[in-house]
Amino acid sequence: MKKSTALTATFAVIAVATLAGCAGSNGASTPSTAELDAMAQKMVQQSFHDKGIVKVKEALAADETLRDCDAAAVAGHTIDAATEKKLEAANFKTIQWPANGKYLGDWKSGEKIAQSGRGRTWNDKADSANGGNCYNCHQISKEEISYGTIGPSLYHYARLKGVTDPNSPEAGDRQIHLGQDLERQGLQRLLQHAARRHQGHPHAGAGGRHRRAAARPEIPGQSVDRHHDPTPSGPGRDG
Amino acid sequence: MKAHQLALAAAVLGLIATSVAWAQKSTTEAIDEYREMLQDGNPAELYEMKGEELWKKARGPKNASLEKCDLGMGAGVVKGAFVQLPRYFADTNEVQDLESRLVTCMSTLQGINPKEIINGKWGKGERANVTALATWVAAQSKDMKFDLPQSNPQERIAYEMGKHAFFQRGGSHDFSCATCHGEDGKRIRLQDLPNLTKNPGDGVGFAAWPAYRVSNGQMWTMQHRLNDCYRQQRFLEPGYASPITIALGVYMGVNAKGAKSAVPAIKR
Amino acid sequence: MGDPMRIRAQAKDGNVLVRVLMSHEMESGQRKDSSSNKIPAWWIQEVTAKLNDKQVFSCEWGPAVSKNPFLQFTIKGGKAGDKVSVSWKDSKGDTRTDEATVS
Repeated sequence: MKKSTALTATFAVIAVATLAGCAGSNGASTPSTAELDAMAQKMVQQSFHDKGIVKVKEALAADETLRDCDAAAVAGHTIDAATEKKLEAANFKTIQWPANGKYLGDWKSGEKIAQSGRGRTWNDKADSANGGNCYNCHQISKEEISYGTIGPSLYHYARLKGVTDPNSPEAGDRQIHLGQDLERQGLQRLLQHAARRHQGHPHAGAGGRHRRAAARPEIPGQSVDRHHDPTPSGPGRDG
Repeated sequence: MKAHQLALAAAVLGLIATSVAWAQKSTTEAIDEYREMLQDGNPAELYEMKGEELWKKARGPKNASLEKCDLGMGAGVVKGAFVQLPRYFADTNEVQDLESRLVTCMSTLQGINPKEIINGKWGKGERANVTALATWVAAQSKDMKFDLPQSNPQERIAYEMGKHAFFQRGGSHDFSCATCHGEDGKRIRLQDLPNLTKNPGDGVGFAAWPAYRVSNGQMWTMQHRLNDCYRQQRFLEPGYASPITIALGVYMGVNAKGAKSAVPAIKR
Repeated sequence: MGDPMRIRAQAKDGNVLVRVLMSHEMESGQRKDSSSNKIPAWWIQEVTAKLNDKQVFSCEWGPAVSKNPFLQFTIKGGKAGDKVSVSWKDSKGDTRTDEATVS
């Protein structure tokens, strides 16, 4: 019987190989976590392909941060505190602070970048003006009611962090804390993309796998840095 | 004159009153009302009609209909099949979802080349036919509860593979499925997001596709929904009916056990 | 001949509630394709309905009507068993007629 070539018997091949390996163990045919991991990676490689500006080599390139966080998510628990600190520190080192030392820019440009969700999909061009995608996940200004709740509200963010003047030298310490919070929330990378695009750098960041903010552990129940209430209330619970 | 002025004043007041009342309805309430109005006269019914026609019509090089297609409950049994897919099929020795099983039947019964669908374009040619067929087949199980089998080892492995894929971050934004669909009560902009790591309720998530999308006037199957999710995630494009897409269907479908299917549904 | 319409006709309190779902692109002529060329206008211009053999409804449509239009109207004095037929004609001259029995 003619089988469609693309629908290869992947599950069958993997199942047979695994069950054969366990032959002899009575009924213990469940593969180990490591085996399932390897199977999944193979299946992913078989199922996805290059398209447009998105390439398999870059999109699936896993580093320690992704591997640790994904493994914890699959297992259904948080990463341990020691690993979390280690990953944060490693990613923190990769942050590029503004060269001119200015942390406060033109808010009108910022709003435009936050509103735009364009760019970086397989349909987009490499030199297109990429947006920050911010409102998809966050509340930012009071006026914009079409905001997502995947991430915490960023309304009054500086005030919540106790920063009175982001541009003053005295706020230097606080600026670092601001940066740490942004980094911890996995925002730094996205901001870098948006910022570099705005400054006219072509093709920001797709190749920059080494420059990455700590990924947020996506574990259900772990509320490290997110509000469930979309309206801002009370002191910030982040970091 | 006076009466005219009074009438005018009353009309203006009436307008103000109406606009105040309208403004008092919350955004989400207004959107829910709009969505309810869309339900009556869902254009998905047009695709259903087309799908039924395609099921019964003799087509392809073999000039045969699909009426002997086995969707998991025996040749030609359509009612109830959708809420047990994806599942293992002995004849292909694979776990298959609705779309890939239709492709198999179109190939074996009608002689239509699977490449026409797998390498095709959304909304065109044989791929559009699979969408219409999927809409009709799924509609025959409307309001039935999801109950995917997990008796075969391959089905269980497919579930694990789906779970791994669900939590795998990648692409320029390091997004995984779980980024949007891993928690309760989240939304992207104003679009609510079902938590797909568990049963999100009747007619939601896996139980809501194929659906007609009003915003672009297109009928989308789960394959199409997954494809566009990955695109928005800045991820890679999955092959049509590739193993990962089927594994994700198993993961979501098994998690949704007991949820009632609302298919064909209507979406923004 | 366009794609089939889906017609539901229900008798209630001496009237008939008719709901029609039509399959049509209803291209306004303002949209552009990926090469920035305007997609040619193509829409249903005229819709008529008959109760048995008598025309009871007609309307003229323009580019504001959306794709896959849904139309609902009430016919006075119809009853179960009557025949309702709906016809449309579009800007390319294509036509379609479908019927339903009042339930």
